[in-house]
Amino acid sequence: MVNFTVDEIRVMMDKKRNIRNMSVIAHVDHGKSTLTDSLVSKAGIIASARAGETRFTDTRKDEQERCITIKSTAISMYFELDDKDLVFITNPDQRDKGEKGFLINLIDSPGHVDFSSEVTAALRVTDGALVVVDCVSGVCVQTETVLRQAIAERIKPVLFMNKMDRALLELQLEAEELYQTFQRIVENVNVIIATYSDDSGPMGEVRVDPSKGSVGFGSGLHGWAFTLKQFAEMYAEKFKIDVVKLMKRLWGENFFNAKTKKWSKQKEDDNKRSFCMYVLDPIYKVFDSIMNYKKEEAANLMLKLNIELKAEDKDKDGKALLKVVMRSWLPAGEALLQMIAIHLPSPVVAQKYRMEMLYEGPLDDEAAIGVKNCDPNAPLMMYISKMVPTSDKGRFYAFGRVFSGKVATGMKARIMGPNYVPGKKEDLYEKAIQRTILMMGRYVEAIEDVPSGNICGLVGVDQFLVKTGTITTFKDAHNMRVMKFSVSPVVRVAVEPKNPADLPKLVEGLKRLAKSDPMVQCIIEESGEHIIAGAGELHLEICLKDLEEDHACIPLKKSDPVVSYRETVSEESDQMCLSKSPNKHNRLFMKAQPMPDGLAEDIDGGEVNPRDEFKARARYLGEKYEYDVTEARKIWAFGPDGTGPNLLLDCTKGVQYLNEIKDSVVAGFQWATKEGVLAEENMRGVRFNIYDVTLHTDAIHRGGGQIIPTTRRCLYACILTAQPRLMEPVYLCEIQCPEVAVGGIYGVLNRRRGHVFEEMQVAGTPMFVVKAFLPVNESFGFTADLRSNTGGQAFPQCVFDHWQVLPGDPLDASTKPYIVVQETRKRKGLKEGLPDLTQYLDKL
Amino acid sequence: MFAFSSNESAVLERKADITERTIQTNVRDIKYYYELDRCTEWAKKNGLSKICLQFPDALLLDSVGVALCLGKILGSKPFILGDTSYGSCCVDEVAAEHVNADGIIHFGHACLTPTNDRLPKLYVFEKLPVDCHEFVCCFRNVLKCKTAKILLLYDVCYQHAIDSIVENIAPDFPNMVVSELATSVRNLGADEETKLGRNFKLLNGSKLEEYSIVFIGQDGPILSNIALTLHGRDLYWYDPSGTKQLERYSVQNNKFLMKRMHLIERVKDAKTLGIVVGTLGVSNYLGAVDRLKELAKQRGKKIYIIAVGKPNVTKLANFPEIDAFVLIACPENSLLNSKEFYRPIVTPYEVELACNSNREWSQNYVLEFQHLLPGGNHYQELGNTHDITAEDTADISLVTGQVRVMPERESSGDVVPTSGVVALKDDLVVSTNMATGSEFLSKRSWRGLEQNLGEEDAVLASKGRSGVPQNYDTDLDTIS
Repeated sequence: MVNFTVDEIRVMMDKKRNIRNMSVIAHVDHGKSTLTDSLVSKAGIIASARAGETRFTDTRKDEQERCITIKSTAISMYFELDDKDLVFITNPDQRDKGEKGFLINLIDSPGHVDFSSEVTAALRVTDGALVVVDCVSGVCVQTETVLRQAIAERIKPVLFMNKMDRALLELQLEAEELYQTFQRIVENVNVIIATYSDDSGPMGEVRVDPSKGSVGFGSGLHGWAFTLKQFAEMYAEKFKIDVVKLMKRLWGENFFNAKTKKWSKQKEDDNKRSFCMYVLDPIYKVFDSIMNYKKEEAANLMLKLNIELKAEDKDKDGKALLKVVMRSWLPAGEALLQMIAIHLPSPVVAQKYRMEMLYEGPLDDEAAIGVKNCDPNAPLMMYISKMVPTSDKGRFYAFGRVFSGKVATGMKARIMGPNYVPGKKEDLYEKAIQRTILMMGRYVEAIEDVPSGNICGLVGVDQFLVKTGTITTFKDAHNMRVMKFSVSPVVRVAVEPKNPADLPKLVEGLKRLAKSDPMVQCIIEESGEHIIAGAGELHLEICLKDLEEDHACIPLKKSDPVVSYRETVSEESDQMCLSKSPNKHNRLFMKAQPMPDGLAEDIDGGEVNPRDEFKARARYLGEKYEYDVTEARKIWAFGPDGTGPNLLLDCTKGVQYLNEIKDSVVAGFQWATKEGVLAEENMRGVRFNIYDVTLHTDAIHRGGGQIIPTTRRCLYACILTAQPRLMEPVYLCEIQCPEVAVGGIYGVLNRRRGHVFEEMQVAGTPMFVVKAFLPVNESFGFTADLRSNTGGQAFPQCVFDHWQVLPGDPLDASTKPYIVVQETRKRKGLKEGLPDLTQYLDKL
Repeated sequence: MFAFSSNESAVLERKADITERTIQTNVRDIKYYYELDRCTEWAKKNGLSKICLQFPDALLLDSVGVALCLGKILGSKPFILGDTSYGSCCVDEVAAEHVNADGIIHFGHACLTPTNDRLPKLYVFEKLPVDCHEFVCCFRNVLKCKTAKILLLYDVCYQHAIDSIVENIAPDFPNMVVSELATSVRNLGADEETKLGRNFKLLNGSKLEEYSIVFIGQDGPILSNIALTLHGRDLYWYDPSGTKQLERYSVQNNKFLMKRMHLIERVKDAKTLGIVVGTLGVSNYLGAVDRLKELAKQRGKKIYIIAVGKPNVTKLANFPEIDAFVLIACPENSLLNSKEFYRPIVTPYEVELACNSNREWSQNYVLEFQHLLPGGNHYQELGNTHDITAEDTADISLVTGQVRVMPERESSGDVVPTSGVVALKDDLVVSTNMATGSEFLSKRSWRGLEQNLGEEDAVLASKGRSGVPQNYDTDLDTIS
């Protein structure tokens, strides 16, 4: 631990080239938090006033009980590079001249997929990521998800192979096998990286490469780690080779013949892979001698390696001794911090290429230039990525990163929510910032101001932001781009207070909960259900607990988890649907048809969206989905909410006054797509065509009152005549287990309508990975079920993947969709039974 | 004449939408059934010559018979009022004033909401059969504790039998309070209360929470209104024409209250409120309008006042810029199931909950808006607007998930450019201020007549139509 006063930290903050903002990301249980602890114990900063108090990283009680990280925590560290290491930093923007110290802001984020929104929020405020991979299980689904996100955010990764101790002790891998395992993981990671970026991109080379020192190896649990740099330094003198050159030789297809002293590019009988020979062999020897109690050999080795044991460690043996020896030989903190300081970008470097991804406004305005240059004297641009609860109930610290300018206590700034549009006043508030604070683990320290490139918290802006936002002093600033989450809130529970008198407390609690989690949605539905929607069961469980204990503080009744469905169609309407307005003077003729596969996803992803230029959009739809280009030019609306995955197209020819009723028709369309006819769930993937319209000649008889309800009726009729279907959300589920348990997995998946589409062995391990699609509705209790059927050996990770039609006609009482519709209607307090087509369809 | 109201022929042709009984009462029974003796006596006592007879749709069949009979007795022809503008449960004084009547007799079901008392009025209720003996048996079976505090309420159509019922039970239940229908305005006693058109006086020092409420009548708006507004220890109801059992009414209040929570959120979200005047008779409805205006103004919401007769889906969907409607009406017509409506419809109480920072939410719903106005039992002063800062009002909408803040009074003058720079605006945008009305118009895709320059041939101007849309002087091509 490093003792610093706030003033000393503040001095460091100005040296923006010596700052590293980084997050630690990994699959669950790959050992992030343990690794982080070893870093913090080496270099974590505590303000002097706090020195002496321990348990710095300890935050939530339930996190410790479950051994799982739930919320991300920020920790600052200070680390000095030796002169000899400073030469590895060649980019002048990576280091201030004459400054050896580095301020490292690290965010430890959760690995469980249900909390990936926390990771997303962490990535936004950092420039680099330490990707931790368990070298026994390899690259897992969550590794891939977060890595993909990191690359998309232009976060530069470095890799750490964790749990090497397990590979050696449990799996007893041979050196060459272990090398192959490492090599494969590096390759896997680089494949993912290459898929989402390329070396010629603005970030430069993103790939990780052991021979460049951007891959670390070791064991977080035992506290040791190294990169090839460490070993190259050990041998450099002996070989009289430059460290950098030697690093290159220590990885890949480089073989050394001990007899001939020759390097070779090929494996021959009498040469050995350099990595095995120079890196793994010594480690294997240490392991072997200590674990097999070869005392003398061990003592010899220690002498060779210059390891001196402390008096209290001398009596240890076995694993305990191994830990001590390895830790003093290859201290994890040193190797990792070097890797971080050398390979992860400073804000100055990173913001140059991140700016265009971060900023929505013109790329040459004052704010954009300020961000690009990480200029502390430019106007303030700060992005708030999440809200952190304070000890004061209902109030939050706004946590984020200063990208440009300085944020200071008392300064007046513009607070812009995600819906702010420049020039409008919506979601814009001008307020003084009450206090600027440093957030270090669970402690906060007031600080006068924070310059660009740093991470900090703000007091007194929380009321004006729900979850995220932009803080600026520049009047014409646009928003910083909102974050895209890799998970969606598809699982819902309804809550109600046990005592009705507590209802206002529940509502207040829901509002607080909505703030405290980056992704949870709290909604009061029209049916009166108070809904909490989250990514998965675990996420909801934590949210409910927080709601009950921290936010609302009242006893709650909770419903079983349910999923929301979508309403769609499977055919074109079998007849032209006509609905007449209440005054019978206006008629609408429409049909519904399903969208081609992929279009709804394109709309979700924003590839097709209402703000597109209509001609370009029509061309795209024509080329990709074979839509008639003239029709596709006349898309009236996306819905629901103006952006959803349903389309309303004008296919009429020469209808008088048609444009006049467009707004009313669109309003009816938004209404109908939000509350579908079957069970008032959102519609999805439906294209509505307006074929003909007859209108009263007189404007007053074709007003909103006549057209809006009629449009809704007509759209409902279209749906009912087009073979309506329900869609349910489906998880992509990755399960890891030993071979013996695979049978059990299939059993459980079959019972739950799961569908396995990939099964493979993790090369070099006895572990199998099964990938399956699993309906979210069948996932409740899945983890527990799976564990009991596999003797606790299988562990699933589920992440929402797509919507899928639930087979069966919801209008047929013998089908499952029918039951779902009836249950949903009942829950929402709607009339049970089926919608009646005659209510919506009129005769000529 | 029908520039402002519907065409009269349309009214005559329209079919009433009746679901209740439609059997014409036997001529011989009319006198008893409609209490013509009492009517005559009342008319004579008050010296009335021009009387209006107000009938609900279901009783219109008998209206001619009643009018003929009364006319004969009184010697002057009474007027029949049908098709009451708002709810037929309210006395329609306005309609009576159209014919300069000097008295009004209201037949059938009534909500007993106090009116403006412009005219003397008389209520004549329907008489539905109730088996007194059976009820008394049920009553004794269910309520075993003789000293229990009981509040007896009943639907107006059972008033004729209430005396004999009370006679039978009262001696055994000393702590029973029997409500009285508030058919005429009189000064209330010290502890007397009027709720939902019923006067009752609780026993000394007791609270409503200690009482078991017993209601005689069918399931319907009155029963649910009682369940909502009167919170007793428990609530029983007896349906003389249905189950004939004294049952505990399972109050679904939690569900209901949670549903209304959604509406309160919608009101908080609303930038524009539509005040729908759903009565012209209920006393102090203008006071309610003023109160709502004041509430809306304090929260920076724009308001429209709308009088459209009975609100229906079509009428209200004509105002797409309005985010939520608040309906001022008698309690029985206040809670509209707004499922079919394009925008939600709420009660004044809910607007109070949403906009008055001094008012705390409680389970006791107030459906009679009079109680919310100055002088009412539930009146709550408005929070002081001057101390409220944006910080105090900022919260998250649980409908849209966005932050909402009470708009600040223009303190930030620096927002409006004071220099002489001319702002470049989009086509047709007259001003860029945030008035929601103009904002709505600027978002609309249709901005007026399209010029279609070059696409259509130029023609000479020709004479258009004249008159009102209901019925143009030169009606052209209407589709039927």
